[in-house]
Amino acid sequence: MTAGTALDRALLAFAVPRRKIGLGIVRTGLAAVIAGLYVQNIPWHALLWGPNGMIPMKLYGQTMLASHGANLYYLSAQTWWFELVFWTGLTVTLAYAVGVLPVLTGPLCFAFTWSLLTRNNFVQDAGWNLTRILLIYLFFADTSAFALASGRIEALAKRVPVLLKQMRGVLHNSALGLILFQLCLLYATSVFYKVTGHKWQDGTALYYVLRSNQFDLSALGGLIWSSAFLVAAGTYGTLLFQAAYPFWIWQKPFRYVVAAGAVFFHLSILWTMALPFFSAIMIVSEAVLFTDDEYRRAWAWLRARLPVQTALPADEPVAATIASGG
Amino acid sequence: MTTERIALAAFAFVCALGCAFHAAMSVLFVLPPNPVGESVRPLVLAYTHPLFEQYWNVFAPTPIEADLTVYVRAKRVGAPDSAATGWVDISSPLIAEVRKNKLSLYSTLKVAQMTLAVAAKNDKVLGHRVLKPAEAAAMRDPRHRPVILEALKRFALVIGADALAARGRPDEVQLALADHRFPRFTHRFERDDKHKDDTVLLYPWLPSNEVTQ
Repeated sequence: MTAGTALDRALLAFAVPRRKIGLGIVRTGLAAVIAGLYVQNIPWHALLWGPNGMIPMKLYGQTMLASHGANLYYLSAQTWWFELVFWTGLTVTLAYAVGVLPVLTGPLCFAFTWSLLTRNNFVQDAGWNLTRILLIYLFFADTSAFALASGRIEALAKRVPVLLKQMRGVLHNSALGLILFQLCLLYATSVFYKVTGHKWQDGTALYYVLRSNQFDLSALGGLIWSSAFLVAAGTYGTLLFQAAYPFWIWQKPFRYVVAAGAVFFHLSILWTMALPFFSAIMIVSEAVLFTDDEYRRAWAWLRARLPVQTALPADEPVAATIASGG
Repeated sequence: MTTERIALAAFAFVCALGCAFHAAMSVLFVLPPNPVGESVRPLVLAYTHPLFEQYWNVFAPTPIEADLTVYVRAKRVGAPDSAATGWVDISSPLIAEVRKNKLSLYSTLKVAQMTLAVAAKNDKVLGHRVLKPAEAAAMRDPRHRPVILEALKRFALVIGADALAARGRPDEVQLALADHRFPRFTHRFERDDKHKDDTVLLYPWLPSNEVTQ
């Protein structure tokens, strides 16, 4: 094989969209979590985000707007406008979750979510920071797996010239790469800063987290912090997991270990520290670690044991066309 | 090579270059000050702000080491402090709700309460020390009031509304942040005298507001 042919094959391989099922799950999952934030706070939404709530509109404009660039809620201080933006935001998010024209609802969902989150920084945790960034990457990805009317979109896609499909595939894979990079950066940065702290080094950090009234939110917390072994194991286990993550997600047997570790780690955070949105966002993001084939095999395995007839989105014939170079 | 293949290769190259640039900017943004990062800091900030700003130093380098509790009390304008309501704890009821049910409707309110308390404790003006009389007086003017204090006041007015209205509609409210250092790890089985080592940061009386819930 000549160098030219090898390059050509690599180029064509790069043009085939990968991990569409995982990205479909990330799109649906993140949008569902955002919708959860809206719905959970309906009783006090005006306190958290309203023009006369925690941060009055004038004060927001004077102090916080500059650091966020733009905000839909800031376009008017009228209550009706606030209510319109809030409820439209919820509607758009639900539409994105079920996959109504993700190409259109994705950017809209980002604009409304950005506005909601930056209107009141005090309701945010690290999970929302990740959500804001992933929503941008998802603009460029094909997240139409599980989307409503995806069949109709595919029928339209068949009329698009092969070159454009290939370019779309390159864009999709670039977004996929950035999402994987973002997850690695998150865990690598987190462990980088942790290891510089004495309490992480001496294995007692978990004690301080779970002992604080703000995070000691389950009976399990007390059991853990009173045990020297569990405190040290939890502290060092956290460091180990976060340090391993950027290296292990690329190889198959380790990837499963890391994914299981991430789910366990974030369910533990949910249980002990009661941060449901943070935990859900982090777990949903892990969906991108698996290939479409892995999802299909897992689904086939499950289907053989469950009386469910639904199928996962099949490989598109277009992928074969792209891979063969048209 | 066909024209189409050249176009695809060029597009892929531009995408790869864009991804590499974005990745480099993101890495430089999250790293602490360093010789490489400092020389290109203006470019990094211009690129990442505000869309790609990210902070992942949760519980790092030092995790939270204290119980933080926010209190609020209210009085009529001009009345002495002795005529104020008792201190109303606005943290504990939210924490108790979330402790009862991890998926509680109150979990975001609890996060807001916690973030405000931590932000107030870490604020250069509001935290760590007793305010000078001139600073406290200046904060009565909304133009000089830190946004954290205003947000905390408004939050407290809604969460503690019933208790604060016990002596009629309040004209003024006062916030306090109790910072309780619980025993260090090696002393974890010792009795935790809840108020022995508390630092209480007392904020000035501020005018009350109507806050929409």
